[in-house]
Amino acid sequence: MESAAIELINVSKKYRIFRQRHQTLKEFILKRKRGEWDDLWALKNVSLQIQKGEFFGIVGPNGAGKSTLLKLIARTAIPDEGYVITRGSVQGLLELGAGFQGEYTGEENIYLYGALVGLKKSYIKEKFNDIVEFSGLGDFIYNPVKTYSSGMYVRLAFSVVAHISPDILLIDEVLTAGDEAFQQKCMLRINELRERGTTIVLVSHDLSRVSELCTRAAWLQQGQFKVVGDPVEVVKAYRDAVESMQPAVT
Amino acid sequence: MAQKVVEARNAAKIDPVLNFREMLAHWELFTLLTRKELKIKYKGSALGFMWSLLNPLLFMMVYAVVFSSIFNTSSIPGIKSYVVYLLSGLIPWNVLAASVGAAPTLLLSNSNIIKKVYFPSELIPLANVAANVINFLLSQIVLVIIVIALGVYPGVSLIVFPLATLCLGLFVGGIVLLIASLNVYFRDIEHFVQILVMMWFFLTPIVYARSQVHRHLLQLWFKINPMTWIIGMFQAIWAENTWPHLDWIYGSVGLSTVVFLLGLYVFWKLKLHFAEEL
Repeated sequence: MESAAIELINVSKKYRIFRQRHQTLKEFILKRKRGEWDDLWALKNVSLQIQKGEFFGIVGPNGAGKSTLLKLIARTAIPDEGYVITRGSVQGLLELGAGFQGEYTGEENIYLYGALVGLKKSYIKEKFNDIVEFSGLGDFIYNPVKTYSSGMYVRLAFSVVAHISPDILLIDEVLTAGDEAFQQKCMLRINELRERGTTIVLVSHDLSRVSELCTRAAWLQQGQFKVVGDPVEVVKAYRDAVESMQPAVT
Repeated sequence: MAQKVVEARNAAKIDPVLNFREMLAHWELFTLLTRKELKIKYKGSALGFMWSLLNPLLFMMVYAVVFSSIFNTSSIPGIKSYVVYLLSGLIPWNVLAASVGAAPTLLLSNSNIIKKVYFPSELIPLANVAANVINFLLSQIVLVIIVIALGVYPGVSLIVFPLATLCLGLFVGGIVLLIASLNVYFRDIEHFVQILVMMWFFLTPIVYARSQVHRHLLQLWFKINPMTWIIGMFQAIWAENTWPHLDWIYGSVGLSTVVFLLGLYVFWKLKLHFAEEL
C-alpha cells in the first residue's frame, strides 16, 4: 500500500495572544519576559491522513483552525506538538498574493515565486507563457503588482501555482476574489490537476462546492475534527448543526 | 516535480542535513536575491557602481588626511605605503559594516514572503552578505589602481587572498545570520549593533598599525580580536608584502567556520516562529 500524501499525527498548534508584548531587548532585560499572553490552541491533538490523489474538503466556522491546518501542511507554521508529514512538493494558495512583492512586476514575481519554491528558472521560463495566458492579465503582467486589483492578484497567484504542478495543492478561500468566469476556469484546471494525480486540499465556505467536488471532507470545529468522511454527509452534519444553532438566520 | 520529499517535523527538532539540502536546492533563489541586492546597491546604473567605488576612496582620503596629521604615517615599520595599508583594511571592513548595518531590517522588510511561502529564509541575509562580498571584490579595483600607480606590488602571498575572502564572507555571514534572526525577537538590537561596530572599527588596526600601539592590554586584545586576523591577512598581502601569520590563517579559518555554523544554527532555531513573530 502506498503511504499517504499528507499525514497529521496528534498535531496541536497554539498561538500566543499578547495582552502586552515586549519586543525589545531592553524590556526583556528589565522585565525578564517577553510579555503577557494567553495561549490559544488553534488545533488540539488532530490526526488525519490524506491519500495521494484525494480531493479533500475542509469546512467549519471562522476561527475553527482551517487556515492553521493548511499553514501547517504548507510549512509556514510548525506544530507545537505532534508531526506533520508530507510526501511530494507542496504549493499553497493560502493568502492573497502568495508572497508577492508589491514593487516587482507580475513577471518578476512569477520568477521570484518559482525561485522561492525551489524551481529552476528554465522551468518557469517554459511555463511562463501558459501562466500569463491562463491569468488573462495580458500586458498588465509587466506592471508592478501593487497596481493590481485583488481579482488580478488572485488570477496571477492561482495561475502560477496551478502551472508549476505541485504534488500537493492547498487552496484556501481565496478564489472567491476572482470573477465567476475565472472561478470556472480555476475549477477546470483543478480537475485537470486531479486527473494527473495531484492531491488537493480545499478550505471553503461554499458547502455545495465541497459536497460536489471533494472525494472526502472534514468538519473542523474549535480546533478538532467533528466529522470526517463522505463529503455529502459531512456537509449535511455541519449544515444541520449551523441551522440548529441559528434557527432565525436564513 | 517527480521526486518525493518526506518530511517529519515538530517544533522541537531541527534537521541540519535537511536544512542544508534545502539551501542547496534553492541555489537559484540565492543568486536571484544576490542580484537584486546588487541592483539596489548600484541603483541599476553604471554611475551607481561608481558610487560604491567612490565610497571607500573618499573615506580613505579623509582618514589619510586626518591621521597623517596626527601621527607620522610615512614611516610605519613594515608598511610600504600608508594609503595602500589603509585601503587594504578599509575595504574588507566595509563588508562587515555594510552587512551588519543592513542585517536588522532584512527579515522585517521581507516579512510578507516569509510569512506566506515556506523557503529557506536564511538565504535572505546570506544573499545580502554575498552582494557585499561581490562589491568588495569589485572595490579591489581601486586598490589595484593605487598599487600600480605607486608601484608597490604585492608578492606571492597574494595567493592567500581567496582564502582570506572566504573567511571574511563566512565570519560576516554568521554574524549577520545571528543579528537578523535575533532582531525579529528583539527589535532594538539594531542600536546596540551600530555602536558596537563603530567601537570595533577603532579597536581594529585599520587606520593605524599594530606596531604603533604600545599598550599591553590593546596588544592582547588584537590577539583575540578575529577581525585583526582577517583584516590582517589582507594587510599582509597588499601593504606588508609578507605572508600572513600562520596563526591568523588557522584562527580565521577555524573561527569563521564556527561563527558561520553557529549563526546558521541559531537562525534555524529562531526561524521556526518567524511567521508568528514578524
